[in-house]
Amino acid sequence: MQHLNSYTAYGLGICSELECGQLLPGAGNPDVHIRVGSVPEHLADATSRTLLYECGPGRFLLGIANVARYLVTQGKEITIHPAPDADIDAIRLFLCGPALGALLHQRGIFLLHGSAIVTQRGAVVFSGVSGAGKSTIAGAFLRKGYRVLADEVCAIDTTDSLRVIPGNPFLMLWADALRETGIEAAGLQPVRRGLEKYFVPLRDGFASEAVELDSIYIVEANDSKLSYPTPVKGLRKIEALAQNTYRPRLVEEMKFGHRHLNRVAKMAERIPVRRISRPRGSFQLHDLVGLLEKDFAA
Amino acid sequence: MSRIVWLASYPKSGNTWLRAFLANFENDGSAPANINNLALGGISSSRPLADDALGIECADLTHEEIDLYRPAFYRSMAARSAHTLLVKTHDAYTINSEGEPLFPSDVTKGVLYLIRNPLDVAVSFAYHRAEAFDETIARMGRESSAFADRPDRLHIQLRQRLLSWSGHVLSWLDQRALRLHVMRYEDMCLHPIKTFMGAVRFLGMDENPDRVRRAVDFSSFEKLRCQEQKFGFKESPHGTAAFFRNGRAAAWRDALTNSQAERVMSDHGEVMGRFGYLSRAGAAQ
Repeated sequence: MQHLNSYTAYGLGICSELECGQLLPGAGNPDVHIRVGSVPEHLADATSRTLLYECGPGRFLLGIANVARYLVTQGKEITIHPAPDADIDAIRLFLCGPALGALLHQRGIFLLHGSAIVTQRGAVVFSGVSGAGKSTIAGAFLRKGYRVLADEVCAIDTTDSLRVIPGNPFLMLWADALRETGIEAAGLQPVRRGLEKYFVPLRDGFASEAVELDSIYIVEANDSKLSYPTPVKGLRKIEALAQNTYRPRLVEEMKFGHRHLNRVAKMAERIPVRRISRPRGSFQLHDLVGLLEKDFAA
Repeated sequence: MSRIVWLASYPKSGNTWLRAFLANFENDGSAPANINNLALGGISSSRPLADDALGIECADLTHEEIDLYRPAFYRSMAARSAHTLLVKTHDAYTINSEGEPLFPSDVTKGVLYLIRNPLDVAVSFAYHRAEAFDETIARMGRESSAFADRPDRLHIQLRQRLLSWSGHVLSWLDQRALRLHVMRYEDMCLHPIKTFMGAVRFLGMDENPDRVRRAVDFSSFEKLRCQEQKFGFKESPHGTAAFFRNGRAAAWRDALTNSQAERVMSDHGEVMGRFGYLSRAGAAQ
């Protein structure tokens, strides 16, 4: 009989045939099953097909060449079909990222693309495009003693109050982000072969309970100088939240667009959103974190 | 489904100028188009566009893996657009590890390729990167040159293989899969109306001389520089000189030493000769 591993992530109990050492160990009745098995190349009932994935009613199929195919079903099950000779770390990476992200979408959980930390005022989310510096900023706050709730996929419970749900107990940082943040690189495990990007275990720095959402920062790397955060208001706020949703296109393709927009509007009503720009060429991480801390205290 | 026109060039060869012209030509308005919002089809190395098309983080893929997906990425861009897309690229025309060109012919309408005297490119590129002329000249001579290729960090853009300056030019000019129209930067300076009209004709757009003249005027170097001084330019690298710095042809004479110019001519003489950048006596024009 297959040995099963128990984990917890995003408030869900996970029972997995695949060992994923980075995840937080869990116990109790699982909400999600991860199996290794056969996955078709296509969904017969696909309603949308894009380059790497297809969506059908309650189903999501992701195929990464030379890594694996992932079938995510009804927010409850992920079946992994590894490619021959695939790198096991790569299989885990796309499992914990896009496959799990799609599962959370299927469960109707509100997802922002970003990292989240715990401040005295509550949870603060850093959102923005890939490369803007979301994870690096979370890493810098980790070094200052703040606890981290999530990286990359930031889940928000919208049932009553807005609360950030703890994700996974690690950050993923590139080698230069480790240098910027001063996090010791020795002994860290690369996320997969061929990338100088590493798992940074959060240990005590992981916030394992949901925390009330206080505010959202949209981080941008552009031509401007480092500047004090400015509020985003009105329609632009709704636009910013919609754009910084985790995989907004997937929300549409899963036919959740309408519900999602309602939640975006609700969030825009209640949560301040600010934009912070940093120069593209140099991070100026120390100054940026200083500005953010001032803003938290304002 | 629409098709893509690639606005291809080695860096600092007039790509922004061409895009400003095309944006003004398409607008055909009564004031110059905003250089910070040239409503064209973006850049081929856009990471957010690629992430959106693939549905995963390209950050989790190696450069080589991303190149495998790039032809399909552009097909999906074309499929999702109702209009012809004018897409900037600094990539050389290369093939991925499965032998497929990054720029697929089935969704390409054509290529506008810009070429500029590499002696002037060297000066402009060095200012742009805030590096010494010798360093830039060496970069222009290396076949391994690329943008956004550092292995230890996440770049805002996807890796762009530039090859050497000559390698870049030849990669686009010697390919036979895509329709191509070549424009020399020096001709854009000397005979703007005629040169930009050539682009309009190639693209099958409205060959109206007044419209071309207006767009040339709105995208003149002075007007672009004026906009940058007033509002900044989002594509300018932080901490370097103005993006629209000089713009003249043959300005290299005041900047490069003889030995620097000779190095460029020795690295790229063959291609320079092909485009009239060397006089009969062998001195660069």
